Amino acid sequence: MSIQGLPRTSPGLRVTGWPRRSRNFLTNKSSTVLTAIAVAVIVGLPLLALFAPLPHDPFRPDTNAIGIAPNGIHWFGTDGNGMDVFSRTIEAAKLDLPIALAATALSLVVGVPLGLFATSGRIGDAIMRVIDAFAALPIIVIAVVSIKLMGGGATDVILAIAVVAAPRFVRLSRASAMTLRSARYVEAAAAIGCSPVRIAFNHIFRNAYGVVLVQATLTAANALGTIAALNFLGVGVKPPTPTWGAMINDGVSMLIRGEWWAAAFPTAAMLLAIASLNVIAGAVENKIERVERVR
Amino acid sequence: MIRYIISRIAIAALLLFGLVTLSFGLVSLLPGDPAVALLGEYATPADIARINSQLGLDKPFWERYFDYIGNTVSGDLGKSFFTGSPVSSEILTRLPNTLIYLVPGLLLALLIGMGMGTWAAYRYGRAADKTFTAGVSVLMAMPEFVLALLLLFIFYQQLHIAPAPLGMLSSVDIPPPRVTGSVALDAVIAGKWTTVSSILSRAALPIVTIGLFFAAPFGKTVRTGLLQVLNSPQIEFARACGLRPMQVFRYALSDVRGALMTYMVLLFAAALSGAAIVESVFAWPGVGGWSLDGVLKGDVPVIQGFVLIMGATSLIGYVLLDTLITLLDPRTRNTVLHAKKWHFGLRSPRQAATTRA
Repeated sequence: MSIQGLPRTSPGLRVTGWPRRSRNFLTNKSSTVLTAIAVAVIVGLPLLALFAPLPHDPFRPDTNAIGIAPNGIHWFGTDGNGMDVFSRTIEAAKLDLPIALAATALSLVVGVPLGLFATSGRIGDAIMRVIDAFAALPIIVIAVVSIKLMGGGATDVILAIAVVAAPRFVRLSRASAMTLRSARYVEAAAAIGCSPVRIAFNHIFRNAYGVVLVQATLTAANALGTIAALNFLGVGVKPPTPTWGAMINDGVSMLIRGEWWAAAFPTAAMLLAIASLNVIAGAVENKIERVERVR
Repeated sequence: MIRYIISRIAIAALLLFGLVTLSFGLVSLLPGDPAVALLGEYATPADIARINSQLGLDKPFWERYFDYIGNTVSGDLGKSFFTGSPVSSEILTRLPNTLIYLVPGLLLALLIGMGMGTWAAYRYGRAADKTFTAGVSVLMAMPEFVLALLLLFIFYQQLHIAPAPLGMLSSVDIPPPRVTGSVALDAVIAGKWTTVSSILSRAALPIVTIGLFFAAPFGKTVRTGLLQVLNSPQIEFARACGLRPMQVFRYALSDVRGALMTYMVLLFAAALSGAAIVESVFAWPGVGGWSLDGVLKGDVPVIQGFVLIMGATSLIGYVLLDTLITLLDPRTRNTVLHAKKWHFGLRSPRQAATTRA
């Protein structure tokens, strides 16, 4: 959506400045570079954790090096147990990022078909009422309750986040389906006898996937934050395994004393990942806008 | 009009019923045994059976469900498995502690979001707008607990302005005599102004956390909404008539008011459900930290009570909001009352043909 036709002058408060071609405050070229960096971060961090040799064992505490500041040996310092913060920050990416992406994928797979078919009829209404009831529930609490009751492994976190995120996709794809199904080509498809499933996926979803894709990237960014919040609260993946949220929680007591590194570096890694996903979402949005303008 | 409001209340009552069922089902159907959680893993089967009959967990599923609904309707939310204190009175004493930082925090968010969003909309495409957009994306990428820790680090650790994150009262504060159960209210009633100011200074960082965290999405909504309105023909006309800028702004605002109010209620619900995070960072004795504790221990009545209260609060918020919007905005009144039923699903060819004809 671009904003057009701003009045050039006005008698009262002046609304000046012409609409720019690109809503992005960065120029096109540098935004491409930025997107490339963002993709590299999202793909590279887990790969790094999987394959690159870490300077220290992320699971073994070193009792001779408790809470030391960043130096040549421990690049990010060590935490209160004497574990290397750098190794743990990288190691955490192996778990945090895939969980966020898997949860997003799962909520996409569940939410989109529900939304596409919940447009009419009793069952559709019923689905929407259930979604409404879910929206009234406290999100974090649901996630915490379900993770806690299911046991607390990585798959349980994925399930819980997916449950929390799926309603968004139901709403979004439902809204698109509502507007698109009165389109001529949908009517034409129905007229030549296409099955509802074919219409829903081949005609409606194909014309609405852009919005869904943008939302999916934003959801993944959100999921990263939620997962970190859950781990911060002590719910989810069990302690010796490093996660950004749990590491930040461990670092709080040091932070209060002024020893910032144990909390700051995992925070920075998490924010970097979230920002990268947001950049990717912005890039996808721009791309879709451009495609639609050509149409 | 009245019919519409009544129908909203009826729907809310139905949803509330669904909520009770959901909060019961959520905890009862998922795996996990409260008796084992209570006694530890080395409990004998006899002990487990005894606890189960004490808690009423040995009854059949439907009987428990109807018992639960009956008790809930009469205001009895059960007793905590661990402390034995009634859930409803716990909520009543803790909810004010949460609201004492939540409501000012949201008001702060409203103030910042309104101001910055309006400014950015009026300065569309210029430096102020770009700064605003960049700031919003930075703030929106930051989870609540990170923001809280950042503020804590700056204002407590570095600048030594804020007090330590150790709860609502310091050890030297003498709790006021119990009147309402809420410490802050009791302190005001007892006239202990040193206690009140101590509470306020401890609430400052939570308030700023909530304020900044929710100002970003709210400001973004204000900016988007206002931009659309400012470009509309009616605002151009208002300007052309030579109305004063404030007058024009008021007209523009009345157009986005409904959407903004909706968003504010959504944010309130989100803030309430995220209270556990802020409260665990600042060790605040509110309803969020308490419920989190209950969840971590597997304290079923506490979880159910919290889910129910939070859900009910947001439902009541939605009903009030819908009513208020209908009262304020004449456009919604007509469309809502005489709304055409939209029944065009994925139509079969024959149906499509008949509607066309």
